[in-house]
Amino acid sequence: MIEIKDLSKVYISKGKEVKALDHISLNIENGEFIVIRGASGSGKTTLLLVIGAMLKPSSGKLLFDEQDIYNLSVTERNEFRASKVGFVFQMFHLLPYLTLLENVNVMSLGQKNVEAEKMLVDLGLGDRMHHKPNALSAGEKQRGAVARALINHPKIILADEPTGNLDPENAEEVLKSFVQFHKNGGTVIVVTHGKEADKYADRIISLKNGKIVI
Amino acid sequence: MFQLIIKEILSRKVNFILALIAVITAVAFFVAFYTSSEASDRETKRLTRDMGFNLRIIPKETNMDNFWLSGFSGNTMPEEFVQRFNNFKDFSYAHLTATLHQKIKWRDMNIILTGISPEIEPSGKKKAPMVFTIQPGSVYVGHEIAKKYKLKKGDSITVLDKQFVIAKTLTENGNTDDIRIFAPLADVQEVLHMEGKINEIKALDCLCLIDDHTDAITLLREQLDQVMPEGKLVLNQTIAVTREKQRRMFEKYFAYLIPILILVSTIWIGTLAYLNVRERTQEIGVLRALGYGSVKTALLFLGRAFIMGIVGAILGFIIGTAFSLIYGPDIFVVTAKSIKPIYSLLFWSMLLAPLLAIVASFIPTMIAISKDPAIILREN
Repeated sequence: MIEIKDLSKVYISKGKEVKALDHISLNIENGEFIVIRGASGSGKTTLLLVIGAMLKPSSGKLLFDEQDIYNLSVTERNEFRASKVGFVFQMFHLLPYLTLLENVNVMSLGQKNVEAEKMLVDLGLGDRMHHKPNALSAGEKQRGAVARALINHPKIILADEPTGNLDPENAEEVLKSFVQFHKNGGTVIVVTHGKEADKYADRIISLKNGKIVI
Repeated sequence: MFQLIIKEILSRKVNFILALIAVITAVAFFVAFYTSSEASDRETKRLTRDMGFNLRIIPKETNMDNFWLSGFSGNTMPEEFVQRFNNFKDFSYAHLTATLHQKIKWRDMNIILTGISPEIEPSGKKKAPMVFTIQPGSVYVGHEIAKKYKLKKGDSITVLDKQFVIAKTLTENGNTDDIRIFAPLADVQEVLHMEGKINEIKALDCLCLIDDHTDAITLLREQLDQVMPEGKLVLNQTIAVTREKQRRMFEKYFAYLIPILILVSTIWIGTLAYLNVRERTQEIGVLRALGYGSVKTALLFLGRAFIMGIVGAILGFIIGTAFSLIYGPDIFVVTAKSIKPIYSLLFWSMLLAPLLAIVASFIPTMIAISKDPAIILREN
């Protein structure tokens, strides 16, 4: 279970304080499918990065299964991310010099990973796994990025605008892979502008000016 | 991680090759310069050695007016004085030769009869001899004498009632050697009835033991006082200064050129490493999100620099050595045959070139790991 308690994040921009998150409190149960929606600058991505142990909040707490993530050392947080969190980004962020299979297997490159191959086959990328990202379509890249996020069997998937660069058909494919992960007991948090993920969501949370609005 | 580094290198070949060229250039210059400087050093030693001895040790009581007028000391000293140098290590005297000179009337010529002993080296070091070794009963005859009496190798001559065979007639030297007969020291002592006596020890100063800041003659005189207080040192300044200038020339070039080369290469590699970091900003963010810590991220960049250093060291050594072997013989004619690969330089290159590449990449690496992955990902 993720517990966000009175959490704020303040950035300093051009000498001015900008409140990206403003005293947010939120509980997310294990196995929930959450959609976080909001306009640009509403704090969606910041919230996602805070939940992903990437961005230390200015105040407040983030508990993951009752453990305060930001009380962990940097190394422990890295390990936490590597083992429990899977990230999916709008721009895919595949390493351009690795094949799709190598990208999925990037944390243990050089070792044969049958599961990575099977995962890519299941995602319809069996014949594309030895191609580099520049030879893949946007949909293929994003499905590859999903495979990379899932390969370490995380407890939670954090997806930042995962369908933002995809056509509806590919967007649906990606969302279905999240649904599958969710069905297997995983927690999914999708940050998005659009509404295509709404139908799969257990809860939709709207953010405005760093605050949750009902 | 190694695979990730290799794949990145293969993917961004241009950046890597440009930085690699900097390492290769630095190593190749260093190797070529060092290999050539060794040849230059040998050539200088050979050339300056051929200029003759520049140190003359004579009895302390020598009257210098007469010395300069006659060309040698009128006083004598015991021959065993020269053996004292055997007991001193790290001495700035080399190629010590005991000699005995005497003006004599031979046939109808005034000549100098010179007896020379085999060379000795302080602390018994082995060095190629500078002077010829004359077999007992043999003589070398100066140019003017040989010309006047039409003497040639193999002829038998009598000097002060002793029979000698001419082992060699010397070419024209343009100095008093042209009116000398050289013979083994013992033979000359015998014919002059001066057994165990010499009137000069000739030597060469060893510049390798004298640094830039030491006055050579002061040091040499101090050392002579320790070993042979009965002696007086005369230094041929012209030869000494020429030798010193020649010997120091290459060292000075080396001292200026190599630091400049290293500095330029470091800036070059560092700039390219920085460009590499900039190009990989997103990658750094993603890898950090996937669980790469700052140490692992730093190793990605430093590992790349290390590989660059190793490859650059090997290629630089090959190119630098090849350059020396191909062009060295044209430059260092006298010692052309002794220009050889110095394999210890490969070891030093493989140690220092990765260090150079890592140092040059250090600041860009610090920039890479100090990038906040959250900011990178948020901005993207």
